Order: sequence, then structure tokens, then C-alpha cells
Amino acid sequence: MREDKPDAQDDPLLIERIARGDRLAMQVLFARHRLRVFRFILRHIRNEAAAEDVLAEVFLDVWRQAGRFEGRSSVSTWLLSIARFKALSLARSRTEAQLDEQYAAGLPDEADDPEVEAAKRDKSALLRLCLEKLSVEHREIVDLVYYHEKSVEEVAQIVGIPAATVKTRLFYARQKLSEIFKRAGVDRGWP
Amino acid sequence: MTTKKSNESERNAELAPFYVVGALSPAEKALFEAAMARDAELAKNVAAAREERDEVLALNDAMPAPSPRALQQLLAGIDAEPARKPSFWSRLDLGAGLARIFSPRALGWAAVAAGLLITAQAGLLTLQRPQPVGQFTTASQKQAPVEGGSFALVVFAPDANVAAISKLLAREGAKIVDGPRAGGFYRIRLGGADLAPAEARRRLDALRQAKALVRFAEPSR
Repeated sequence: MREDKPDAQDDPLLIERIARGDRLAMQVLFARHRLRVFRFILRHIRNEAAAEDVLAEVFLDVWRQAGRFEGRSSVSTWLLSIARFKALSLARSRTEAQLDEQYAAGLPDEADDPEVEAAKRDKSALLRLCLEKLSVEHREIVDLVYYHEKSVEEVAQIVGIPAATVKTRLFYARQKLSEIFKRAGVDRGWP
Repeated sequence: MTTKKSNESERNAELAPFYVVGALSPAEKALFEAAMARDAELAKNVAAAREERDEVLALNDAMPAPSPRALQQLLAGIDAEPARKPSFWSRLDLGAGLARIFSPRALGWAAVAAGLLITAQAGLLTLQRPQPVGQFTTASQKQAPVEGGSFALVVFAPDANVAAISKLLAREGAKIVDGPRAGGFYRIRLGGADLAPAEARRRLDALRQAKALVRFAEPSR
């Protein structure tokens, strides 16, 4: 079990308490989920200060809407759904020029051959590089499954797409990884 | 037959990442593992998915964490929200109260309360002296009729330490006069009839602030 994996068993109880105006429960929920939700937001908007603003807004929405939470999904799935909506709304309202330049400069470019060449000597490093080269749509679904450990149905709910699309989108994302590997002349063993 | 097998193979190939993170149902998992045992390509797929997961975790773990500013911003936002006015029934929180009554921790609490009762009664029988302010009493204990004053209904945290609660009550000049009632409620006397309303409010707030010990505290008649 990973250290930052939220212990979600009593999340619904926290939401009940938040609905009654319990600030302490709000702080517990925030402490439990802030890291994962923040990183999910940061993937979309690539600016730490803006991501923190969105993070606060997500939990403020939870404070306001806790009484309407029906428990049809896990609390973490609900949080990620709100986070995604807010992050995409902000991302759409911003221009490319507003991207944090330092962060953008750190993103690998398709043409960074020297980096790929260097990474060829280390399969893990090459895989990390390839993951960073995925499109936002593909990377999002890869993170939701591998990092957030979401099921097909949960990803479908967060992203707002059919379950079948979740499976095919992830499969294509993985094929894309293999293609980048092939272009780099490295066999990753699958497919 | 071949098409059916091909469809099954494609379906399993798509499910490999979900298998790796444990996001398949028990039935799906059993089917997947049976397929993996007879399909070498699927086993390679799973190995690749495990490598992907490891690197995705490494990449995410290398990402920054939010600064304390995010929490400050959230709390400021909550402060700016209109005050909640919970209903009488929601304030009573009967459902959660019942759950607490039957929880192992609460049963432990009941045992502690029973122990306190026996101890208190023994003390009364042998010492027959007035109890200091803040000491625990229970509803079933023989005691003088409760005088007037300011009261509160309180629910203690299930894992609260008895000594710590006694200390808190003594510090605030309060004592338990009734309970536990259904829902785990205790009636607390905050002070006598001469207690100023402002001081009663301050004592109630002090109980609320002791969040590690007190889960609920509201004025009571």
C-alpha cells in the first residue's frame, strides 16, 4: 500500500460532518486528498499557483455541496470530477502565453532526440520520457488508472465518457507508448 | 469460434492496466487470471502495464505538493460563506449517534462509564463528601436534584481519554449531570443560576474547541 493512498473508508462520514458545517472534518478530508487532487489539477493547468487556487475551489465546492452528495461514487471520484471540470474551465480560459514558462520549458519536446538517446540506456527513464510525450487526453487516463487506481466505471464518470471508450483510449495510449519506443529503437517487450 | 476468441483476447488486453492496479471485480479478476495462464501475450501485456504503473507513480511522486496557502485560501472561503443553520434533527445526528452507541469504541466507553459509576458510588458510600466541580457523575448515580443553571448537550469523541475529559470539565467548572442518553449524549451543567450568559457561551465554546475530546456541544435547557 502506498503511503499517500487515502484511507477512504470513512470519507462518506466526513462528508456527512462537512454537510453539518464541521470544519475539522473539512480539514481532515483536505489533508487526505489534497496531494492527489492537486497533482491531477497541475497536470491540466501546469501552473502551481493556479493549481492551488483550483484546489481550494474544489474543496470549497465540497463544503457547499456536501449535503447533496449521495454516495453513488467514492468521495475521491467525486473530488476528481469537480477538479477536472474546474481545471479544464480554467485551462480553456487561458492562452498558451499564460502558461507558466518555467513549467512549459521543462516539458519534453517531440524533437528532443539527445534526451531520447540518453534515455535509451535506461528503459525506465525512456518510459518516463515517453509518458510525458503522451497527449493530455491519453496522459489523463493513464494517471487516473495507474496513479489514482480508478476502475473503468470511475474513470468514465470522472472524464464523462462511456466505459468502452475508457478502455480503448487507455489501450491506444499504451500503443502510443510502444510506438515511441519503436521510434527510439527500443523493444519494450509488448505488444 | 476464432472471432469469439479474438474478441476475448482484445477485451483482456484492454483490461491489463485495471488488473495491475486491482480495479477489477473479483469475477473479472478470476477470468482475467485464467486467461493470463493460457495466453503468453497477455502475460507480457501485464508485465508492460506493471512497468508503466511504476513509472507513472515515480513521475507523480516527483510532482510538487500544494503549499499551505491552498488550505488558508479554503478556510478563508469557508469563513466567507453564509453561516449554516442546521435543522434540529440534523443537529441531533441520531443516525450517527446510534452507530456510535453500537460501535466497539462506544461500547468501550460504556464500560468505562459503568466503571466510573461503580467507582463513584463506592466513593459516595465510603467517603460521603461533596464532589469537586468537574467530576464525572452518571444518570443512575444517586445524587442531589440538579439545581438550575446553564446546561449543554455534549457527545464525547469515542476515543477520548476519561482523565482528559475530567480535566477539561474541571477547568471549565462544568460537570456531567445526566447521560449517556440515546445517541451518546451527556447533559452537562456549565454553571449555576448565577452564571452570566456570556460566561456560559464561553464555556460552551471552550468545550467545542476541545475537538479531540468533544464531538458535539450545543446549549440545552
